[in-house]
Amino acid sequence: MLDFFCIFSKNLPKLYKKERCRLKQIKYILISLVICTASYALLNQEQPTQAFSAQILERGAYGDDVIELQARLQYIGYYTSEIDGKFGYSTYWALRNFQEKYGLPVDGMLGEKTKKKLVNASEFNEKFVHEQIKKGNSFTHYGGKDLKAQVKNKKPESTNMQLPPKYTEKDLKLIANAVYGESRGEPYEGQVAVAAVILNRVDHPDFPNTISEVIFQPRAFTAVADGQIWLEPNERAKEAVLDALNGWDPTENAIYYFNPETATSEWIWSRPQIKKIGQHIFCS
Amino acid sequence: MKKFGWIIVVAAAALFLVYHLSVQAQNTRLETALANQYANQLTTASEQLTVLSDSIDQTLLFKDKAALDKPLDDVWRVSSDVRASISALPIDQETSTVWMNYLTRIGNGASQVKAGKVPIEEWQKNMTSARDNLRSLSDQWAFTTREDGKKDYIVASFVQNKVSKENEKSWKALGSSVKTYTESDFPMTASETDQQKKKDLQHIEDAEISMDQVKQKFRELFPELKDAKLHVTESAKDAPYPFYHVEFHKGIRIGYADFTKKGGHLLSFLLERPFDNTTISVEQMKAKALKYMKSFDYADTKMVDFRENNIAWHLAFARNDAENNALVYADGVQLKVAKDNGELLGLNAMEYIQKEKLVPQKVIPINYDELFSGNFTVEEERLSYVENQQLQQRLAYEVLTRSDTIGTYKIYIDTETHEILHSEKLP
Repeated sequence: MLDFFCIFSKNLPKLYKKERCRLKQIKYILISLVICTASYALLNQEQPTQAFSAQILERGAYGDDVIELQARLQYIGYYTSEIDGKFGYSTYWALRNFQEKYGLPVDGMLGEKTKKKLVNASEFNEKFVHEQIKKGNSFTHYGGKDLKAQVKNKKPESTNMQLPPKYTEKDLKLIANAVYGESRGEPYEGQVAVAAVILNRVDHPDFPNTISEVIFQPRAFTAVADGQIWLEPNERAKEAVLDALNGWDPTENAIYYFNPETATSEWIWSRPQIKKIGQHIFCS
Repeated sequence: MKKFGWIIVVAAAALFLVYHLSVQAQNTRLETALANQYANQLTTASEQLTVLSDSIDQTLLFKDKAALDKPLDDVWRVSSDVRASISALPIDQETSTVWMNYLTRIGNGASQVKAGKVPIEEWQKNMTSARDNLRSLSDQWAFTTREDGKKDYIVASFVQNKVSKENEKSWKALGSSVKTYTESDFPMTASETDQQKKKDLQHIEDAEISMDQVKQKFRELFPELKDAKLHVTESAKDAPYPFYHVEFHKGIRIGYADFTKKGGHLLSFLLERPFDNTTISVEQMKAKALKYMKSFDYADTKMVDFRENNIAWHLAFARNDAENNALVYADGVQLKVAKDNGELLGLNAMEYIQKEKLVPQKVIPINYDELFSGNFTVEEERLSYVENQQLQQRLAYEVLTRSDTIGTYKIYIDTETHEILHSEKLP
């Protein structure tokens, strides 16, 4: 390019021509430098948008951004637990350790600065991670190791919900099956109410002390007796159970309920009634 | 004669068909009863394995002898319960024996540590892998279903094994081995000794409000639902405390709110509607939640936890005692806030209506180095009130402690007696 200009300026005196060529050379070098710097700055600025969303993450969060955070922290050895998209304490401590090591403010929150540092320090194989989660595989995402070799067997069934510490995913799954089998045609409030009755029974001295024993107590629930408990619950039933596990009790502490249209037991009518929700009367 | 013969044949065929169908129905019922029995045993064993694993975790937390006594007792007791559950399961002899021996060793180990025959450090070293084994088995035995509403593989195979062992004729005998329950198995009386504060609401002394007043109150508290269609009913006369049940409907929004009749205090509120895929930020969600708390006049509370799920955030608040800046968890409020626009989807204030009575208590300093085992570091400390076994509210050191291998725990230690009141593993 520079030679091109020099060839066409052959009519000028030799010294002047040489000087002009040199000036042009400097000019083009400077322009190239400016373009390179600007491009680098632009690329550097764009980097966060290639990874996480714009949200600031903190403990309690859930979703794809948390999956990426866990996978990236695991890639560089800070996170050793399951990549499940739930920002719990193991993610929190791992993030704090990362922030401390990389000279960032240690607050356990994933803000813009931490995101940038983490993206630069780690890699994230999004396709691999999401594929394993979708398949329900147990897997890790450590850097420097063959990813395929990090896939293990199927992990236990998970509902991908964040629960109060007192309860497990197994509890949610079992109660959701019972709620769906018992009250899938009921309004949402009625489904939360059935879940609340199960939990009230666990706390009540006249009933067994565990969720499974309460649900499988013979003749306690129609859905168990007729096998409907084995039906896969829908998201609405799971959401209703989640609300009950978080403390909602639309029954105002009921321990029994029945459908007055179909109830065959005379005894159930002797229970003190509290309220009616949908087709069910709730009693203490 | 020929006609008569035909009638007999058809009648016999019909009788056989009815008999066959009735036997089939009976067999299906028995199969379901058997599956329920096995599912109950399996799920109970799974739950107990989790409890045992949690109890073992507790023994890894402490080095103080007094603090270790209860968790070690729990391990001994629960390991015995799990053994009983496993022995009831129709699993093969070899697997059963291996697990029974393993659990016996765990139970005996715990009692030896408690008696001072085995150093706690040795127990803690060995138990790190034991807890993983127990959790893994617990996961395998957890309640699960297959597609199309079919039974869990393990339960189905238990039933199948039982059925194949007995031939068709012995279904009748099998029926007697599966306990048949009658109404006499039901608990006929509900205990009146329940001391939960929910029932204490019958002692509210505020003046009663009318149905019109509750409608007015609803519209004041939920101005965005002011033009919703309301249907108000009163609690049944036998309800432990009188309340109003307000059902509302506005366009795509449907839900309920319960108010006490005395004083018109909001007990709980839930709203259901379809959701968009958009998500507001955590800061926006927190700001909205605090605004709601202020508008409902729960200003003396502090946010203690929040969890994001598919469609909403669940938030927990506890009252902050002005005297000593301690959290009173028993006076809690829960919120449910929509992820798509921060709308209030739920509120539960049942526990907040009547405040706990707190008595003055000494605060004696504690040395955590003497209490916790070396693997655990104390990350945070604050004061809070929690219930002891006698259901009294006790002021406690609320300690957040963690180990990279075992996990994060919140431990509540009585500030006066230094008794461990409660501990919970945090997810």
